[in-house]
Amino acid sequence: MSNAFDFPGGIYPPERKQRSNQSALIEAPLPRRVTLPLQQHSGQPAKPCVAQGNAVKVGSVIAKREGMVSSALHASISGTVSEVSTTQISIEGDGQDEWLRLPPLVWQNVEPHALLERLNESGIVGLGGAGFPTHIKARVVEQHTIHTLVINAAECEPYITADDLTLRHYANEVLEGAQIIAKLCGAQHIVIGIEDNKPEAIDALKQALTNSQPVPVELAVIATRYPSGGERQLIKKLLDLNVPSGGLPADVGVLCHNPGTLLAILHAVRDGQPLVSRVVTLTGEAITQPGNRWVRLGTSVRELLEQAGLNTPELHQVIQGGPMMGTPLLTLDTPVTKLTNCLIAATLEELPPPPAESPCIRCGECESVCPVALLPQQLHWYARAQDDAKLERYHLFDCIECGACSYVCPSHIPLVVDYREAKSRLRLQRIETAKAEHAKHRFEFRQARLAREEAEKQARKQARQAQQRRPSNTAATNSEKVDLRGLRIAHAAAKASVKKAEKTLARVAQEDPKQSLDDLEMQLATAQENLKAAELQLAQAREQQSNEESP
Amino acid sequence: MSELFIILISTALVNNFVLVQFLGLCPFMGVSNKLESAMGMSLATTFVLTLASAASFVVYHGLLVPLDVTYLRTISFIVVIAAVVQFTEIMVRQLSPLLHQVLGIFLPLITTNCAVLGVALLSLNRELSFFHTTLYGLGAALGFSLILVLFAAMRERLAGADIPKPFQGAAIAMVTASLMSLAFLGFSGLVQG
Amino acid sequence: MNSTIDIIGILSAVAVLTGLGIGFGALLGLVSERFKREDNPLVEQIDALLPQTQCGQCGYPGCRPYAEAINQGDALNKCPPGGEATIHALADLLGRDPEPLDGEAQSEAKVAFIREAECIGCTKCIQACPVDAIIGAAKLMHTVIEDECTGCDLCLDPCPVDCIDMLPRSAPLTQWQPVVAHSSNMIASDRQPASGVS
Repeated sequence: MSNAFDFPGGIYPPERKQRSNQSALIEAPLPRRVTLPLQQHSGQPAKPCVAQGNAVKVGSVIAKREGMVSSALHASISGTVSEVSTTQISIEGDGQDEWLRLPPLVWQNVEPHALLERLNESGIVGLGGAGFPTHIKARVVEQHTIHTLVINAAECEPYITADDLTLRHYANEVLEGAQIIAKLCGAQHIVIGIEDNKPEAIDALKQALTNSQPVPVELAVIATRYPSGGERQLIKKLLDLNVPSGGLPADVGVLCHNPGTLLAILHAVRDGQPLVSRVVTLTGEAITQPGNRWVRLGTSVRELLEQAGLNTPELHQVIQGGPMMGTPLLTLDTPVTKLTNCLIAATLEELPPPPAESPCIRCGECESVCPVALLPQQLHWYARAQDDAKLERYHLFDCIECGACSYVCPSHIPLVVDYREAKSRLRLQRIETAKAEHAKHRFEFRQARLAREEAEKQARKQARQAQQRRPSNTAATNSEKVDLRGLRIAHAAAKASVKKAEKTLARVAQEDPKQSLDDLEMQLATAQENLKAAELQLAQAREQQSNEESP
Repeated sequence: MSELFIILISTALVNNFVLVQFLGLCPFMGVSNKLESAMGMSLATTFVLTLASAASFVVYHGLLVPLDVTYLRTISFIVVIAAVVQFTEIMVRQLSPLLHQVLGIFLPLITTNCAVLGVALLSLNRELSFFHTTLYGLGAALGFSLILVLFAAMRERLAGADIPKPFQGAAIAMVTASLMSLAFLGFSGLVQG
Repeated sequence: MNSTIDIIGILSAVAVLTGLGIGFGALLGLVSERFKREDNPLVEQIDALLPQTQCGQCGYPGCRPYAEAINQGDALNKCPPGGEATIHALADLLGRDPEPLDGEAQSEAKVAFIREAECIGCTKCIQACPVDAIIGAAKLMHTVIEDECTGCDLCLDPCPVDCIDMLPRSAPLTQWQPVVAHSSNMIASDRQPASGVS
């Protein structure tokens, strides 16, 4: 047992891992066709770079990164591209399984930027479920100092045993992958966090750790509790560090990775293999051969489950992911993606539909199990009342959507659904507000530009008339009183606002050189136009006054 | 010293002007929708009450009693209160235009707040000194503020709760206020008079 | 019957009240002069809640003039692009009661699109756009910058050949919002007809 630090709350749901962790990890049969969605990661979807009819090998790039947070996509079987749409690419296999590998790298001797480039080219994303592109995550060292790499082998969610089996078979490789990341981000210390319900994996790791490790590795076995696999919860449990609200683990010097991701990293670097397959747990009472499989990305879920002995009459629903945080699939004709860590083919008795929701009785059970120490009951009331100010004050966006609160609610209220809806509503609102601000600045700039153009026109007209030396007629037609003092004040104010805009721009640019400064630059331009207009008007008024005084 | 304490406890809790003597219910119901406006209102009323009771004492003992026109006390107290409220309104507008907008008509309506006139008149019955009269006003104001803030906090919670349609709005607010009043009856007998 | 009118009494009463009135009035006059306030940050806060389409449907030439009008006491419910959400936000800020929208609610976000084959390059739409979302020059092609267009409709009228369409703006998939129907359904008279749950 490791440290006595802990995260609050947590629940102990039945593990139900026995069904799928009794058999070894095997390869699923090669699929005859695959469908690869362009978005299997967080960020921007990838952009296709093949067309219908192209021949591809396993590992050929079929879609490139788009934007900064994005990931490339590779063919997972060899054959011909049968369809390219705006959302997916389908490949009809030729059964040959020919590979196109990148040149292998000896990671111990290679420069970090070459490793980063390899991660970039290999389309690796976080395989724990969130799918954040790994090469972007590795670049966190540009902004933060990392001292510890945490291998998140907790796998706290019931049913899922993918990481367990991966570690049993590939403990050495996972550790080597961890060493690669440690080299890349400069970590001096690696900690493996694993729950005590995986004795075989723990033994495999202990065995692997007898080999010398360049960066020291510590094995920390923790008590089984959901959701100890949450990144922030695990970091608190292992290192007693609190990741700040709205921040990243990198803010406290920690980087966290899933064992499957580390294995994929090793294959990409050492063997030149891009991410084309992953370990998927097939479980649930409705299949007769449960267990873990190496599955090629894009394999149809229906095909995969039928190969595992799917009992269709008994099947009630298939859940992608775990029973706490996973999503029920609406159709079985959907592909396995980079994010599919588990498929639960459940019968009606196994995962019955929840009873109807009753009103909240304010019992407070939810608050005692929240691992982030939030107040789910209050969030529930405010989410229903759509009270946005209160939702922000009660830290809605710190909710990790683990589902512990919904699990214990005696009124069977689907609390996480409330929070997801509130979060998406607030996110949309923020986007709308930003758009409105932007439109306002454009409008203000336009007003300033028109004012300046008008002032220039007046100045030109006056200059022309002064040239033609038309006397007091001009003074007579211009019946407005020349408010010199007012114009001087306006000029001074315009100068001050230009200075202020310049200072704000400089300060923000210094704080975060990467963020878009377009809006601030527009505000600066607006202030400059206003200044120009004020100058022209002032000059004009002075002219006019001197004309009046000396006719 | 104990005299001070007794006056404060008596006016703030035992004989609370809103929940026990049922004065000043207009701002109590009208401004308690949001906590920020309730706090602003309670600050304004505290300011008015304390100043007004002091000024009323001065006017009464300095002007009305010597000239033997004590029957004019109601009208002159209203004049005093109106002046103090106007002064408060100017100050609020200066310090926080948002609060001024939010309080809206309720700020000048402090003039008609029967609690303010009530404090001024009732303090006469007790025949207290100047200092104690001011303290009486302050205690009443503190009690008023306490109740207003508590009620506003409760109403904000109620706004988000699942209330049946017939009870929504003023109805549930009245029920809540009466329950609070019942609670404050618990203080009776703590201080004599 | 003792019916002597107490002249002194009446006079002193009148004097007291007049004196009080004049005294306090003078004091207040001095105070109000001393604490005059010119600027008004409330208008900024109101303006921040408006959608900034600068469309003029509220009757004012832009969002800021409407914000100033609201500050003076104008109704909150004149902004169709803002919709119910803006009315509620303004009502919350100012402590007023929200009213239903005065006018037609905007069904969905729109984007202007110029049919380039018919454009004659007159620049009238460019001059009309309040956020400079149309680029082009005299006798040259005009086109709408999709990201900057707020869908305010002000370019439709000036176009002499009527070559501008208002198309629905498709929200990207990342901005999809789940449709959740929640009511506890326990109180029969509160039940609303079930809206489709996705």
